[in-house]
Amino acid sequence: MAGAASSSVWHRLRTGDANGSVLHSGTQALYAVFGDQVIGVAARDAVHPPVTIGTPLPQLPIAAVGDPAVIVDAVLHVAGLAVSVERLVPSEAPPLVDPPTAAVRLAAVLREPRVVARLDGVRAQLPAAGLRSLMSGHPNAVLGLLGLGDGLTPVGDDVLAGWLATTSAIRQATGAVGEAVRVHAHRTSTLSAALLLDAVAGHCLPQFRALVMALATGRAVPEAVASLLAVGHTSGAGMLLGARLALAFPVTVPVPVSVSVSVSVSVSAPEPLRSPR
Amino acid sequence: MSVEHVEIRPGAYADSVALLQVSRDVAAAPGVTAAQVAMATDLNLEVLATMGFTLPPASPNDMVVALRLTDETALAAALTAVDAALAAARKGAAGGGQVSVPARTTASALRRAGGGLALVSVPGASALVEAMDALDAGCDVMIFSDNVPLEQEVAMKGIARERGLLVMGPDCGTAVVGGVGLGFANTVAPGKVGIVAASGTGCQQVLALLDAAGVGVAAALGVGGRDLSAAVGGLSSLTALDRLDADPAVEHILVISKPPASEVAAALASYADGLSTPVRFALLGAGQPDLTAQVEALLSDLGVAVPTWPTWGEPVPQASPGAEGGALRGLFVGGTLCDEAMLLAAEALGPIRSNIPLSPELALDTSLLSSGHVMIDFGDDGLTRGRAHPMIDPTLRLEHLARVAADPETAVVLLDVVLGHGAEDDPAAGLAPGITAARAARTDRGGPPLPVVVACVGTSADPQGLTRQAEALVAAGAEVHLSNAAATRRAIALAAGGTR
Repeated sequence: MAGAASSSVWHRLRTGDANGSVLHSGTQALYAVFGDQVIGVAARDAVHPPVTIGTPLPQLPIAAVGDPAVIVDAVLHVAGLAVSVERLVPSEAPPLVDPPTAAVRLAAVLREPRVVARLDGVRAQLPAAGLRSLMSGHPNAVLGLLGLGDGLTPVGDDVLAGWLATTSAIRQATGAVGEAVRVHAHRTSTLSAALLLDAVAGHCLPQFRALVMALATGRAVPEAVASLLAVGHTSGAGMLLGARLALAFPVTVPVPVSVSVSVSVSVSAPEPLRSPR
Repeated sequence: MSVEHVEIRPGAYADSVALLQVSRDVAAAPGVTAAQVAMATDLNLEVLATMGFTLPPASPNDMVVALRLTDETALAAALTAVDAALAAARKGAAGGGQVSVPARTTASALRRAGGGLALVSVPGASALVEAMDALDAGCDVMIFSDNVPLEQEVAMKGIARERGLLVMGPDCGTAVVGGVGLGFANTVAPGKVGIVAASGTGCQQVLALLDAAGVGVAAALGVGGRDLSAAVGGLSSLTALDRLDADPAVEHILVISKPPASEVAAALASYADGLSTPVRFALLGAGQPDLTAQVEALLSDLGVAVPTWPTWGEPVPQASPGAEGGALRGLFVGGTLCDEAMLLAAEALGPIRSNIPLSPELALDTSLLSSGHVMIDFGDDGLTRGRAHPMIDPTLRLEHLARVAADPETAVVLLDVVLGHGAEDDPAAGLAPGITAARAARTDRGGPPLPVVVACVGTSADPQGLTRQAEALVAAGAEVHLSNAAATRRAIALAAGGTR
């Protein structure tokens, strides 16, 4: 069966044949673990985390946890399915070059009562000190939030994932917090760890990607926030809080060699143009 | 007394390059002292505010027309000029004024029109979706966009290679396919040379030199500047070599790249040995021949005499030794031309600081200013985010030229001008006053004029007119070469205080 996935999953399927086992199985998503790597299969209308291969199936067959899963010739065989990646979809958060403007755009939506209530629900599950640390980009935040809270992915991890993906969009790097996640990821569930490590690399859910795109362009921010909040029971809200914390105080991390420029007196392209080299 | 007119046109749209031209056309209208017609993005609104315009609320979906006029009587004619320029832009875009409902997705466009090649030019974060649409439709794809993640590039090219399709790019700025120039392409005669280019302006330099030697080109397939990196492994170069080898019109193949991964270069050379068409590699790197030397070798392969490469103007006199600093300052729009110049200059002069440095410790900070020898690529990703490329909008480079000229340490300025389709209509017209002012800045302080050397890369049939451009630059006081390597060597000699 032909599926669609991020380029990182395409690469994982091509790192060699592997034996693994089913980690989680439901009608909408199935995850298998191969050593320290997780690869999932998602039903047509399910949420597609960046580790999953999207399929056209309305429902997935159910497998038992621990059932075998194998990768042979870049094809994932699990629960009677044989799934390859024939279509690439983007999973990287797009660049967020103007964080202050993005923060203002997000703040306007975060004042809505229904959004406030969802974020308060997330905050209630997590230690305030951990959230404060995360807002200031301190690596202590990782031990303060990792694995805490409700959900298939603990909501503390969701907050971290939102912060990491947003910071990666701003700086193309996640600094000390990202490094701490790499070191301590084993302290949370295997599936959540896989998603967190993807977030360190700048990968995120399509709904989160759409939010970053909306914040970058100023278009359809309320719709993007609503769509993200609809993800999971608390996951979307957790990621939204993470984005809010990342934008409140963009952390300083080493920046790759690049040059920002002052605006000059010319009409500039509204879309980035390429550079012939 | 000067008057200001600002109007918002909700829902009106034209792309940024078209609007740049519209703004220029309107600015030239009688009674107009400043004109900016742009989509009301945050960045453009900031630019307009910087220019002193008072702006009403607007969204990025709106077009803003901002005019400063000598007096109110000029307004009606100026607005007529705006509408005429916008109409001309629309007519150019729609192909003779034909009105048709544009396809909304790449997939639907390909279903409607078919065709073997799709050109994708959207922000890099969105390029993958469009490119996959093309590949899924069985088409090759040229990705003009930059800022496409490397991991995506590798996966996309892997899928394309499995399907026998060609991904040209990302960041592919130049190609000649089926006799048609794509992106920033020069006008060349048909011929028997096929080019695989992991370098846009490097390809243009080769096209220009071959044209000067009277040699035509069958095809130039851009593959993106990272294709010969270890991560990508030359995936598109392999397919491009296959295509050119299968093309009966191609008798010689030239592969051009910025410094490649050595193992990839070796693998490609081995692959090329198995082809029936002879392949020459022009790969830049320390100690490697420059592009001009590589073209001369290719001409030798072809049995064509190497011409004297064109130069225009008298050799500019060297500044009096010791009176000013000895720093070479290169300001480029072409990344490969900048790379080539740095490789040559580093060998002769020592470390060159740059925004695309040969080694990380030589990186410039965001001011782009430094003591010593400096070369800047104004087309680098970091300088084109949110603005047009300097081959379209020269503003940044012109501003920096003035700064460099004012620096007493500057001994010589090296510039490139790249002609062809897609580039500015008349780059010399914009650059010449800057060169004149730069030279005058030095004489105003009592010294001799600042030497300015220009590499003018273009072909005789390019729309801007190679000779006309070169002569305009000469009139401003520059010494002009067709060969970037020759121009660089000349600038090195001037900076080093030697004569040639």
